[in-house]
Amino acid sequence: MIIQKKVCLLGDFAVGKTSLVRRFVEGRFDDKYLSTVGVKISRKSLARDGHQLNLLIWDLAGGEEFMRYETSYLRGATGALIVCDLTRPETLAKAQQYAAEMRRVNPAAACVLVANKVDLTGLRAITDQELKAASALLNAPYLVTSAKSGANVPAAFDRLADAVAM
Amino acid sequence: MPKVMQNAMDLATAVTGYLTQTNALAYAHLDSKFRITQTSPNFLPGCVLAPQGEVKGLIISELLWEFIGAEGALEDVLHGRIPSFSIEQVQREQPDGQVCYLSFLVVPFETGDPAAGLLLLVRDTTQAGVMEQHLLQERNELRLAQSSLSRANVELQRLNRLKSLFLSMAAHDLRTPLTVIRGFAELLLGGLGEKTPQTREYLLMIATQTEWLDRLITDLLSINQIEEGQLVLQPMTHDLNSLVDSMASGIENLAKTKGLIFQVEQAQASTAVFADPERVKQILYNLLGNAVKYTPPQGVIRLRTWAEDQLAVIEVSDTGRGMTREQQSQLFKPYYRTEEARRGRTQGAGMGLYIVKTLVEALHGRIDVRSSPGAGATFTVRLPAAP
Repeated sequence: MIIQKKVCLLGDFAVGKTSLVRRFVEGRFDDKYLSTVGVKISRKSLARDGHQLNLLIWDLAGGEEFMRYETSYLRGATGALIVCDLTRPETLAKAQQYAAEMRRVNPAAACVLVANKVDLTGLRAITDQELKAASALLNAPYLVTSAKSGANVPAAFDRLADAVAM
Repeated sequence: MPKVMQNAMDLATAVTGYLTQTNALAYAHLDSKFRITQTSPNFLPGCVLAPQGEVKGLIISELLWEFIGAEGALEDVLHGRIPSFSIEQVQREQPDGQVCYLSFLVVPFETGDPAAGLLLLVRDTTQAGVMEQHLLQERNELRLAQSSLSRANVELQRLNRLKSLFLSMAAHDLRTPLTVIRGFAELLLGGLGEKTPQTREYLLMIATQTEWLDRLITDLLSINQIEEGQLVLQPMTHDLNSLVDSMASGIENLAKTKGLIFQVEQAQASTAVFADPERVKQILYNLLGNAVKYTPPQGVIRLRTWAEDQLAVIEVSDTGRGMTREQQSQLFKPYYRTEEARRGRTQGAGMGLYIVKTLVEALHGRIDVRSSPGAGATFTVRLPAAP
């Protein structure tokens, strides 16, 4: 059986949402930052309990852009990766707003908090304690990732896939 | 037979109307189960999908990923619970690798008649999307730069606080032994038996130099206070002549060590000034210290004071190497030193005149300089006279 699920990547601008999708779907990374306008949809098939799970991954623009069409973009999504940038503390605060918006439109949506750019070790500005606190507040597990090195990227999507496949 | 099939002309008219209103590029009619029943001829290319045969009969989400999960929204449109459903600015890659943007709009085919199905309109919004992307890119890059600058600024402020703390601790630690050295030198000069002229000269040199070091420490602390915006002033009425007298011998000793002539010309009457006396001394020590530094042996340093239109005027002139106009325009900037001073053996950090100007202005005064190369320099400080 083929199961299709719509999931979203949400977070402030330049936190690495597009890079996470590219790493997960295409297995590559591009250092060049290119702002996303609107939405880019990618598909990735995973095996779950003997079935094929097709994740339709909506990579949405961050910042004010997101607010323009948020409801129509989020409608029908079963889960989301809420992404923040470990070098910019303000993006963790914004992550709470994105998660709240996701749950307002889809109350049963599963969320996973993703703290990206762990490869930028010298610039890290968010502690594990702060991530734990945010994770508890969002009622979402958290993972520390690097789209650049690929660290924990499949794990983050797997975690979301497990939650939406149930 | 569905109503739409009964009257193709009605469909064409309705679609044309929508095309005009929404600048649509392509359309498809969906039945109440969201199956495609009818499309415009350009529907597949318009959606940037390679032609893949018959699409009639396909559920819309089987053809367009965008509609996976949107079944609830389509139901709402069909039954009139919401007037329309749109997905704006969907980024797609064309077969040639170019990015394009599409916007989808779903409206009831006939309001109040769910059986008539839905009309899907697809617009190519690439031009607007590309333009928006450029603008967004620039704005986001600017914001990232701002954010990075703001973080760097916070770090610089932290480092500056550490530097200030270090400066004030170092100044305090330096001043304590200096006070002891100076005290004993003055004690030896004033008593404790006969001294040879050479011993007296050496003791005088120790006392003069320690006093000078003490002034440098005061300057260090002043820089700190200026940068922190915490310059402390204690203005009071005092006699400028007495103040000059109290420091003249120290300057004279310093000038002598370099073979310079030091002359003082004071106003006949006492000149009362309203300023912080310690800061006025600091101004004078810096101006006279510079004159000593930059005037070659046998040169003359002159200190004059007089009263003028509610102002007390102090003038320090020397017969040193002088300065160009360009040098004069840079003179009061922090860390500025002339090329000659940097190349020569004259020590200094280029902070003296910056401190002088800051102090003079903090005391509501003004400082001017007159100079030309080879003709020495004259600094004139005007401070408010006491009322």
